[in-house]
Amino acid sequence: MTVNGKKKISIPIQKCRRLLEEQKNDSVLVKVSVLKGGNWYNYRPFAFYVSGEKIDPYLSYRLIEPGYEVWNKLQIAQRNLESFKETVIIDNNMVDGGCINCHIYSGRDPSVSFFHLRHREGGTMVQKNGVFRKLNTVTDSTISAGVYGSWHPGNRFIAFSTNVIIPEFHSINNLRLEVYDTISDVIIADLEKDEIMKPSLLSRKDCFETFPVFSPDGRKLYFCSAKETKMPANFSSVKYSLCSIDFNPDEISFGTSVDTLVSSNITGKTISHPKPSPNGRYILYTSFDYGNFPVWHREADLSLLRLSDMSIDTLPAVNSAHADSYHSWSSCSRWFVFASKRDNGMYGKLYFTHISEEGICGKPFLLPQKDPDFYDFYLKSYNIPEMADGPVPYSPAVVEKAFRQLVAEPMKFIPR
Amino acid sequence: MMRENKLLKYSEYIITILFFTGIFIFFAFFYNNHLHFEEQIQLFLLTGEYFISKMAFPGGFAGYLSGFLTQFYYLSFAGPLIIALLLFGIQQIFRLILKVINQNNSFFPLSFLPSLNCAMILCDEFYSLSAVTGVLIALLLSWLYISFKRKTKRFYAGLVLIPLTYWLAGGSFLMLVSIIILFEIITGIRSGRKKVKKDTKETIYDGRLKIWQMAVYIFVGAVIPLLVRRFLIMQPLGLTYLSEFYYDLRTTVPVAIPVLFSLPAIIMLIYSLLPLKEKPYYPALYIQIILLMAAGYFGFRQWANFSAEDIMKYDYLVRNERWDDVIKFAEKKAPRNNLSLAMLNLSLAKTEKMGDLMFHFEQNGTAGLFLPFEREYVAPMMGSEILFHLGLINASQEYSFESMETIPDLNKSVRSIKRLAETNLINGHYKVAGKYLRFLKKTLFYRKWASDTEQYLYNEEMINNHPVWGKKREMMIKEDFFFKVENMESTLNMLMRGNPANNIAFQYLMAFYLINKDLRNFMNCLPMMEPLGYKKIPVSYEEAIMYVIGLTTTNPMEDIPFKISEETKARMKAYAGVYTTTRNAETILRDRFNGTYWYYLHFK
Repeated sequence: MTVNGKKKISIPIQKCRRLLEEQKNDSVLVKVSVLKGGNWYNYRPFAFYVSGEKIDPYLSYRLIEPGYEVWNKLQIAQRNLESFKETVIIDNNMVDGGCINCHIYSGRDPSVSFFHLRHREGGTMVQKNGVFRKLNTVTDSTISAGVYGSWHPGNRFIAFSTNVIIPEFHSINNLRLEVYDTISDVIIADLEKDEIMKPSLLSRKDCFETFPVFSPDGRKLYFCSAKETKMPANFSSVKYSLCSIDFNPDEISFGTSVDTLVSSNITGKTISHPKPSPNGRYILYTSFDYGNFPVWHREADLSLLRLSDMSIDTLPAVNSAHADSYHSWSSCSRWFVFASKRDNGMYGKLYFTHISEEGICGKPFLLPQKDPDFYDFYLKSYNIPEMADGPVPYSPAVVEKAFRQLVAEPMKFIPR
Repeated sequence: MMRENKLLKYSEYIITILFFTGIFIFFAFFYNNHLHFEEQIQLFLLTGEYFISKMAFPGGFAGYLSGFLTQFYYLSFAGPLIIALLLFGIQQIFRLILKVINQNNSFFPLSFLPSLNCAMILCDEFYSLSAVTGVLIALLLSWLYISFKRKTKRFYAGLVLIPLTYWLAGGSFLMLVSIIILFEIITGIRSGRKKVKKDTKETIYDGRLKIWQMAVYIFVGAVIPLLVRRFLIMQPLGLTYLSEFYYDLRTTVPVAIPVLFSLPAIIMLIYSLLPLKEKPYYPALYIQIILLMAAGYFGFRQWANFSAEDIMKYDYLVRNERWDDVIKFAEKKAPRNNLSLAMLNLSLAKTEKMGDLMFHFEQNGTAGLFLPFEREYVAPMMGSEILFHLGLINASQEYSFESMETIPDLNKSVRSIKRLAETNLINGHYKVAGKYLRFLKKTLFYRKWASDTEQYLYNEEMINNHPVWGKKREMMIKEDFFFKVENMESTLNMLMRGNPANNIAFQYLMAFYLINKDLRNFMNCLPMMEPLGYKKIPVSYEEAIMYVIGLTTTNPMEDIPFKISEETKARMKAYAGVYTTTRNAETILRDRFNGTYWYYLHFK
């Protein structure tokens, strides 16, 4: 296939689809030639491999300026990965400028999801089949409303962190923002009984617990834990380990001990955003020097924990010299997408990586846009990418209606 | 009769010239800084993609046109000229519409009211020029509608013009609907009754539209925005009808907007009720002129915010580094708020006059030195200047970025983008700096600066040798800490430790201590003057030193370990003489010693 252009090359999507279909499980060699000043210049050819494993067809993400504390236009958009079509699914313009974040599907199922709407009339917006509930997850016995969350595969429970989050601004040139918790716990919201539980092993006074995520079979809860310390004085010494605790969804009970899967004492690094693969073989997480907010840590990298032998792959082919952080898996566990600031250190973009049956990761590639110049003139960052197997069953108008008409349902705290 | 008509015509010419000259003069000489302010808080790109992005929204064409014209506010007299011409266009088109309703020229002053209304709302920085371009477009298309004599053609024209006006001009389509419906009603009342004279220029209409046709117009006007909202662009309901181009605060619809849209129809109604005979009514003309002038006077008094204009003037001068002009302006019109005061103090520091002159002006604590971060766009934008010149590049960057994030119309600011390009360049983040420069290269007035600056990317030597950026790198803080403007004392001390030659930081540190009356720390910092090469101790410092010495020695005029000028000694003697011996010394000392540190220390 030959494609021409004056100042840029845009490959027609039908041609692209045909090419990828024809070259499935094979490779494509790309040769670029440029006519400049009457002479032709040939760039070094490169190849890419076309995987036979399909990726989930939809991807949602938040579009936000890479600012400090303040925001204006916030949107959560979904992109059809089989075309260039992007639609806005939640727009903060429609909800009186409230902050919208943490849009999370249950197991890539777009008909079950939640997001937080931070506004005095807001709450945690939980959606099932396009019908919203607005939940108030604040109780007298918990630190805050739910923050980082994850669905239990049965869709009855959501594990949340509760945190007091403080942003600070660095004075020197190679650092920008530091965000830390002064206190944090993990809670479980039971959507059937409208109850909040705070298991004692997940809310220890001498620990910061955060980033809870259920295993694919729902029988374990993974989370990050660090020794409690005085903040902000010791902000650069806080390191989170990756831990797990058993969970029995039938009895709604937790195990009696916490296992440390990856110890920060041993690795010397802190861990954030653990995400188990759907096939249960791996946990992908972000590793960096300290703290729990990797997006502004240049050294933040992805690491892959193989649960079969507890070995850690530091993914040298995947990581870059800038922050590589928030990630999510495809349904088949053969792809993951992550946010990376590798381009310029500031504006996050989304990259896809293939992982083979043997657990070897390929070179990441950028979420393509119709216009090759698009990112050069785009002033938003992409973050919180989440793959989905279809489009969401609601529109921004439905979200607006829910925001305006629903009253936040209080949840009852149950000591366990 | 003909002579009277000629007189009337000349009156119209004169009043037109006077009115729009007055508008020009007002914006050129009394309100120019508002226009400069508007120019810097938009980022208008000369690209096809930018045009398409604007056209993708209702009102986008009016917004694009407004943005295109607003960029010329960069030139001081271009803005007033543009405004005068746009308002002239509105008046002339509206005049043509009114002439169709009533040929009597005696009532022409009423045609100025929409222009006057637009001029007044432009005094408020939350109303951008797109409100005016939107009105102009709606009036133009209204006049096009009225030009169709046959009602069938008008009906179809209306069906096209209503959605067209909505898409091109946004909310002013409501104005169009009100004008054309009122026109039809007036036409309906008049058609068939009038006898048409052969040699008149009167437009002959074949009657008005039927009621159901007018109802269709109202239906189309009500439904089109809802359809757009349902299928094309999700936005709040109010914004769907109004569009984002009339008022920057998107969650409110101020009263001025319905007035803006309904005013032409109201005037048309009044016009239709006035005498139709083409005979001059001079008393009516004089009354209208008086009322127009009164409306202008009271209207501008209500709308024009000269306090904001002063702040914007300070800001404009600082942004263009016209430090001496800031001081001259302050001497004529002292700062009355922290924003202006902070800019004055920065100018004093940049001209190395802070130690001499700061107490000649009313100080207001440290809030007049460093603008605390507020979640709005003006204070951070101006505060960023102070931080930049101090050498706190990261902090300046934060303020600039946050300022841009709080611009009410949610768009980007060319000023912020330029500052972010600079701070990233100084910090060595060349890819990010390059990204911002690429944007600026797509603007009219900043592209040369952007192209010139691009040459510095990745060139450490060039940057280090640059008179501003190189110096900022030398001044940069070497230690990391969490920056808070509330902790400026320790930040300034750190700046001095990192670079003892940072005279701006030194002046601010001394100002901080003097303003807080912390004379112990002030005295401890005096040795910092030596590496800075001070040949003479600034006047306020002399005054503070003399005061401290006076507290600790019995013979302050003799036992001075510093070189204090004889003039300061003499003044201290005179001050002390009154202060120590007179009751109610404050009032007596105010006249002669108001600008001294002693007076500040004792009475402020």
